[in-house]
Amino acid sequence: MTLVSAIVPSIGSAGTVGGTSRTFVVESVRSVLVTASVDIEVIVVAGRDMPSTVVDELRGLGPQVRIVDYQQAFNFSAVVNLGAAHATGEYLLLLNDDTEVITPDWLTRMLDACGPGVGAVGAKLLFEDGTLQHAGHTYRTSLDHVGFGLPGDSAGRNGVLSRRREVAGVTAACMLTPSAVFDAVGGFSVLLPGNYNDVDYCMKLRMAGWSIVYEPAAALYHFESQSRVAGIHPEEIELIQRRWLTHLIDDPFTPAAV
Amino acid sequence: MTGESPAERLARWTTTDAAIGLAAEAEQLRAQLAERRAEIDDLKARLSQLTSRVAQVEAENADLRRNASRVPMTSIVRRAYRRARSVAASRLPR
Repeated sequence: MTLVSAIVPSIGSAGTVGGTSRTFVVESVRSVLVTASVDIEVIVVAGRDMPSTVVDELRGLGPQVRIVDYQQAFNFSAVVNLGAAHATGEYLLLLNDDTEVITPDWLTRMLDACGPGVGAVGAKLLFEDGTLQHAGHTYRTSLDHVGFGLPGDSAGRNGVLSRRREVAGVTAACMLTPSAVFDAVGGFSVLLPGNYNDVDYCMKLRMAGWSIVYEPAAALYHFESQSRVAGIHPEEIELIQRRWLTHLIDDPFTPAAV
Repeated sequence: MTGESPAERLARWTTTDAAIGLAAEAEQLRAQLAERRAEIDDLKARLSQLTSRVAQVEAENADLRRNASRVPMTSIVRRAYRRARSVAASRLPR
């Protein structure tokens, strides 16, 4: 049976969802374990600030959960790579710790979308208020999310938001990718510590001939703040343009109007 | 991906990523170079058109100068011209 390795970077942050306080990573992993209908191992890459109580709580969720310590300064790509380096699954599922599964068959749907020639599959991500955070990336005019801020059930023009389709890229907040593919392209670039590492990864896949697929039947909440300022460094913009500028502009998957 | 320690795997990925990144950057530079070459070719073509047009206008100018110098300006013609100018000036409102 297929083994999926979920990689969940976390420092064990707590917050409030629907008026109830929670430790994000615990609820995220719990929702994954409850809904996963395939063999799964969950590798939580724990930053040095993760409270020991959270580690204990995670271990209590089941034997599928492993904790890998990350002691360096924060670098999202390095964290993801560290988790992947400890993974044993045929597929890697990169998952932010502030997510929660909505559709019970999400993982089966994502695996189904990850057919031959597919390098990565992304899910539909909704904010807490039900609006759309992610329905695939668009790179044509800026590096952005397709349909950002629309109602979560919006189909978009010609149903572009509600059907499985090939896209320019998908967010690493929830991304399924075959381990062999991840290995072939050298994982995430540690030269992009905070932003655009998923864009870069998707471009590496596309340039190597793999396609990227958005699967709307796999839906999760992403409790990222809607007003979050990404804190993008000029070096990150410079690097992503130095590597991929002409290919970013030439985004054949984004309709003129969504 | 077997037989490798996580540290070895990470090191290999870093090398692979660097190689892919360098290849991508080289491709971007080649694309930029091709774009600049096309721009230079376009400018050269426009320069060639302008040079040709300048030569054409200069030739026309030389013809005009030659034709103008061929018009005879005898003393009778010169006097008639001055008289006509003086009459015209006297009729103009002051």
